[in-house]
Amino acid sequence: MNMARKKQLKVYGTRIRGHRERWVVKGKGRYFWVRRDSKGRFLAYGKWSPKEPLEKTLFTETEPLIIEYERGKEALRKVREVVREWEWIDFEAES
Amino acid sequence: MTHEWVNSGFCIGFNTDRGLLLDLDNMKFRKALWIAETLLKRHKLEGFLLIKSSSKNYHVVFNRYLSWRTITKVLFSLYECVRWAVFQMKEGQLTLRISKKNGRDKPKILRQVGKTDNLIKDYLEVYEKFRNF
Repeated sequence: MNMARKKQLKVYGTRIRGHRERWVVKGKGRYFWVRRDSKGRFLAYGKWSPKEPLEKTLFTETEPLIIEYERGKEALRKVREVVREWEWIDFEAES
Repeated sequence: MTHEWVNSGFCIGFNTDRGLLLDLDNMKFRKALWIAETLLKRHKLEGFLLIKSSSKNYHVVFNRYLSWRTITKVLFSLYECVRWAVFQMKEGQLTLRISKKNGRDKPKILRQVGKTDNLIKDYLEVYEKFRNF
């Protein structure tokens, strides 16, 4: 059976999205946001991911980038190009 | 178990929908080896590469190219692979990390069994190229 060989690499992480929007960021726990009142009493929580803004002006995306290649050398070159195009960020999501 | 985001820089993954990759989390080496050997014999997968991604976490790459239908069948044939299978079915492809992640080292190859001329060759090609990532 002659199956078409599609070679792919995936580059993933949290990268900065170009535009800025107004967004209210709730307090974050470990992969959860937690909303508290002015006295620090618990009000609500929900799932959090870096798809949501890290700050009011910092928007991120996590969609993986797919890189197609035929040879290892080509893969290395393409990955380097793609990685350089974006600004990758570190963040903490500890409770 | 909560999904772990890449929270430091970026990560590179080897991606395929034409062969079998396994991510075996939270198990001992002997169990991971047993799973790899069982699938190898049961489905005639030609050979496998057993890789340690971190403490108690292992990756397996099988050599034979397969159709997506067969991959699905093989993954759901073993209880230990079902959780991984469900997540990968949603993606429509199988991915294994080949670079560092969140301060953890890149995966280390532990054992090579049988043939290595198809999918394992593809994996090793990029694994070697991305040695410094």
